[in-house]
Amino acid sequence: MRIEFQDIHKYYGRVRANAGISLVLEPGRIYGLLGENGAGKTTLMRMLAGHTQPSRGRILFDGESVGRLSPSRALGMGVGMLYQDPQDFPALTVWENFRLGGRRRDKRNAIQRLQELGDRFHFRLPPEERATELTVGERQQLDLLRLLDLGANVLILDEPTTGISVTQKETLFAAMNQLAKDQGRTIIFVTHKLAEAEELCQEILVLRQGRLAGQLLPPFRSDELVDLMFGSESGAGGEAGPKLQPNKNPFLSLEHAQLVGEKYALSNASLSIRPGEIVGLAGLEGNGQELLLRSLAGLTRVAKGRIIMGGEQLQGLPYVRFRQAGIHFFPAARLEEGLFPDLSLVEHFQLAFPTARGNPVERLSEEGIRRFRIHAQPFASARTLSGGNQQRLLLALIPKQIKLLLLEHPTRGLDQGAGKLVWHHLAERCRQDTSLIFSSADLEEIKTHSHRILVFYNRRLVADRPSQSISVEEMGRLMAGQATAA
Amino acid sequence: MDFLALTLAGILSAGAPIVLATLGETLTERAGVINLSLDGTILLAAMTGFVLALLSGNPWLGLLASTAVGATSAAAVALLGLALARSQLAVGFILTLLCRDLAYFLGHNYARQLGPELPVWSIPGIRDLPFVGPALGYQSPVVYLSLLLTFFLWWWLFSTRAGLELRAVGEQPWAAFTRGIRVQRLRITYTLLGGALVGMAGGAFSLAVKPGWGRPQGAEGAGWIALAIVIFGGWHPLRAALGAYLFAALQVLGIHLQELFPMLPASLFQVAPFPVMILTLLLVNVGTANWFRDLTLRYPGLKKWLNRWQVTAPAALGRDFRPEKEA
Repeated sequence: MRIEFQDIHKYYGRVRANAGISLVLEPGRIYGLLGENGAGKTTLMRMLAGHTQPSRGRILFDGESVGRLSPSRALGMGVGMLYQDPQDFPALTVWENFRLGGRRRDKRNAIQRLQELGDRFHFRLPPEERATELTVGERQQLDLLRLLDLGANVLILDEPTTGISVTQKETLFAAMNQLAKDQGRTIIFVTHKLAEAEELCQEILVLRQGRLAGQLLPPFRSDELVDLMFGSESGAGGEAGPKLQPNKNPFLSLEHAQLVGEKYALSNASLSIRPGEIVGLAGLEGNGQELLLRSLAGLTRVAKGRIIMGGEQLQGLPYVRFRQAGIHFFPAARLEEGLFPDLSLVEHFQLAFPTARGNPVERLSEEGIRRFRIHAQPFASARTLSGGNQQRLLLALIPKQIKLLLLEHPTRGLDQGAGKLVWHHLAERCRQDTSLIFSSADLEEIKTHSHRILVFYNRRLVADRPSQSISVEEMGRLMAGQATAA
Repeated sequence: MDFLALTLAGILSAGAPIVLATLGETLTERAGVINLSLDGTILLAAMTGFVLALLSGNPWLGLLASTAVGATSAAAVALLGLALARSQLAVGFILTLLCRDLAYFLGHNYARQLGPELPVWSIPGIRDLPFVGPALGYQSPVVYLSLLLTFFLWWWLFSTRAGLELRAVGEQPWAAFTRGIRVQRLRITYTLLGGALVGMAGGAFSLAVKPGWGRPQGAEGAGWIALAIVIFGGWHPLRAALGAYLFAALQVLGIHLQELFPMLPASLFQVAPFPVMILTLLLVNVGTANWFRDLTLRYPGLKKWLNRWQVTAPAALGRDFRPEKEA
């Protein structure tokens, strides 16, 4: 099916998400839709999937307008969308998820069909398990199979490689190639990862600030893509952090700890940290790294073992004591756990630094807006900020004197420019002898910035190595349980 | 009838309206909507059912009217809480008070009158069973209805496509929306259906279990208990019914114990079921306690047992859903 966007505009209140986008998508091809955060990629795709309507303009299917699109109507036209966070029902079983909203089938029939489709793409999904038990990658596979079962001819994959393993990514890419080349379906691959788009796509569309900035055919040139995405001011690649100073003694240690979280426990974890050290945690989500971070922050329970910092035992003490000891936690869920969505920037500063003297607005302008480059008005609420600005606000709110900074996915969802800024500030912290422990799904990021790397698999710590002695490939294998730790 | 059969009959009868109300609220909450107006709605429905039965001489017409009142009250929740997206909790609270006062006010002239009751059905076959026959075989139709509905809703929720969609809407409305399910329409439908069952519970009180109208009627508090039992029952029809019968059993037992211990104050036995219910809730939710979690780490077998009993509320319970706002 040939799809044509004609002069699409979309406004959310006064915010302009799409401004006059016109383009044509031919069947049997894989399109890459590239752009930084907030460029309007997801909005455009949501209109195609019928989840929201354009403010102006129309979408034609094989040259015909079908009127107002709803999700069921779009599905009927063969358009299926796969979200970055799988849109499924964690409390329901795999086969129930597969059947929901799909064709009328009884249980046996549904399971049979699920396995049939799964075999074709080498996906293995246990039909009777609840979806909560699956990894993000598996939930995505499940959603993909469901859309294929519905006969989707146009598949939109929104940032599908976030949070899935290297092996799962390869399986997914193979499936996408198969779907486009052998079966003539249109695939739209929405991403901000250049390498993946270059590897997979036959055509790349770049959006910038709600407009179509470019439409490219292979061979692709990375620098050209970067220019189109960000304008010409930015460059690719990350700088490594400061060198670790030798002969400093560890100030914090975790001894044979059993950490207990909401869903699982991590047993027998031991670790010691030196001042100024940067430790990267690699592992698929739910394998223990988030538990380690939260336990060191005093947010989850330590059932056995000890956390010792400067001679003091911290385990079992309330969170406030951890903070007093100089530990600061930096959550991945910025709006949910880190900020107060409806409070303004000034109010955030007043809360974070209650004893600060002087005019809070001036302090904010000085600290936040100039040093941390937060692009926002002092009285704007945190909710209205872009992801990058929210992250910089969080960074600006970290107290001056801290010993240990624990970060969950410090650059998740940020574009390259914003990510570089975050690391710039973190490196500065490090030079002042603050230690960092961070988790990330981006192995390159871990490799680039860490002095030491810990790998988690199957809810155990499987490797603890200096960063120069482990490669990205090896991390990937360890995370997938394909190799034993040295 | 011997003592045990009599007790069992009493439990089934006293439990019937609570089962109906609990099932109704379970249905509503599974769709992600909280209807807090149960207590008032039950009273208003009880009054309306009784008065209509009295005027028409037909108790069935009364039961139908009760059901309609329940659905109407739920319609107010649907209109304000869903269509206009006001706070479901606030709407429910106000509705409770409004319905209760309305019931006492409108029903004032019909208090303490003798009116028609639903007939007792005797079921051939069942009534001749040994031991349980006398308890199960001669009961009000609302008792049979509550039993049938329990199993019907269980099947409906977990074995039909419509039931799956209902659970989906209460869990992840946005995901349901992207799959082409009409979230708002389903929510309104199940709010009305659930409300109808709650109304029927009112009719079951005034036309069968505690016949007649007055102030107090005797149904006071039943709505609040039903709301608690929905949680105790983990939003599962069978477990909810079990909870409702447990509460009824405590009430019936109280009456018997009162006869055995005449020296203790009577109010003790009337109040006792409520704290016992709270203790039961604690016991059911033991899985969230830290010491119990440590136990499950040591004995993984416990975890399996726990998973079967662990209850989690529908994830989107009480939350408003607007597809345009999610952008």
